[in-house]
Amino acid sequence: MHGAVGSRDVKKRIMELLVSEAQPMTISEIAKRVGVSWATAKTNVLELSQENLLNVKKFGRNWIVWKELGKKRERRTCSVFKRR
Amino acid sequence: MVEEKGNIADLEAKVVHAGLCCYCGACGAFCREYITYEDEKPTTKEKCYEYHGACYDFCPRTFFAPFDVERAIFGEVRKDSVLGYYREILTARAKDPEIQKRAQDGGVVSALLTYMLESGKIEAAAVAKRAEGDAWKPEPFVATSKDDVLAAAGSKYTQCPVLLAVGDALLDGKKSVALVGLPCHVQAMRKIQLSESFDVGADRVTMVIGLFCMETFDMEALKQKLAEIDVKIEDVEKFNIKKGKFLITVKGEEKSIPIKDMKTAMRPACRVCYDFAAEFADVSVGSVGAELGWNTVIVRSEKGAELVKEATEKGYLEAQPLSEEGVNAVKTLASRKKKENLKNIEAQAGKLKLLNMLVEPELLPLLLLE
Repeated sequence: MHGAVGSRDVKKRIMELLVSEAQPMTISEIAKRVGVSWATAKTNVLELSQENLLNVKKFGRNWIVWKELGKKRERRTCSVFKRR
Repeated sequence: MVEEKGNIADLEAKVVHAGLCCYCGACGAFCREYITYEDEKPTTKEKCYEYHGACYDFCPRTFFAPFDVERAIFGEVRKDSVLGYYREILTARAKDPEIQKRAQDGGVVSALLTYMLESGKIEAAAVAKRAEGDAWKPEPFVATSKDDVLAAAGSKYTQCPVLLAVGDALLDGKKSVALVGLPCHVQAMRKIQLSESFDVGADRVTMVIGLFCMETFDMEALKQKLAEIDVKIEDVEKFNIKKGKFLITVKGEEKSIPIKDMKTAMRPACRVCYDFAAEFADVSVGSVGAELGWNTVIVRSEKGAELVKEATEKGYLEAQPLSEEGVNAVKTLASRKKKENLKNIEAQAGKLKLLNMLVEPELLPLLLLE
């Protein structure tokens, strides 16, 4: 079933979840709430963090994910030049 | 072009910390958030999360496929292993006395840039210019007029990250840009243009003029060398390299150091460079082989040939074929650089992988059939 959920859709749902919760969450919580596997949630979270859309940090065994609402300036990486 | 994947951490490990960085500016030209330059090297306070970054992709020292570039730019591969692909070799000089006065030798590069700017062929040129207040420290500069070109005229003997000026021009929306650079700059420019992963609009760099280069000097080491003959770099009016000597003009008086004694001041990364004549440029320009006050011009691409022809017809240049003796002088110097540096390249390269066979580069000829 997980494969049926598109990557963009997963990302959108992760972002919406973090905005609505407005507090740090673990990958496990995100996976459960979005309805995808832990590995899919982690992959999408890391991709979102590359685009500076959210923050992620590993504490011990847990990955903590949070979104700073309107505080941090988005940093531009070379991904803006990637060939599509 | 064959592509390897890597990011800024890989670039630092494989190139910067390995002493291979040529300080061309390609890594930071399109990454203004993470990469800055200190002590003539790229540096990062913080890493980005890109798996494959433009910094790694554009660096001429991560991977470079010479024959892929030649097929893409010239339509075929070289027949001359020393000078690379070319159509003709000329000797030329600028006809404008103002350019002649400011130029290092024949002023061909300044004349070509002036022609392209005045005829509207380019909007800007990425060049190296001496920094205000620090005359021998070159800095990347976007020239948009003849005055700018004249201000940047003359050779510089330390490295300059000219690709940053290419980035400035393209990010500023310039529609047609020329680059004047050393062989490492030219290689980086070709990688940027031919990248399969990134599109920074480098097709707007419509002309690449390369400069002959034996090596560049480390600024601090150069100052130390000059101190040995009681010269301060700020007092130097002109540097030049002629007939095996590094010439320094101070208050009208010419001093010299044998070029072999200058090797200790050479940037370490230049020891593994295999390109003397800017082999992947549209046009390559230097002084070796030419008479005093003239340049040697290697015309490589079709675009380069058209440019030289037009600039000559419009009276910006005078040109004629270079003598056989002149061509041989260029070949001798290019061969010397390649031979000396090939040893350093082999020492650092490790074993070559030919499908499944691992072979020391210097022993490869033993395996090949005659």
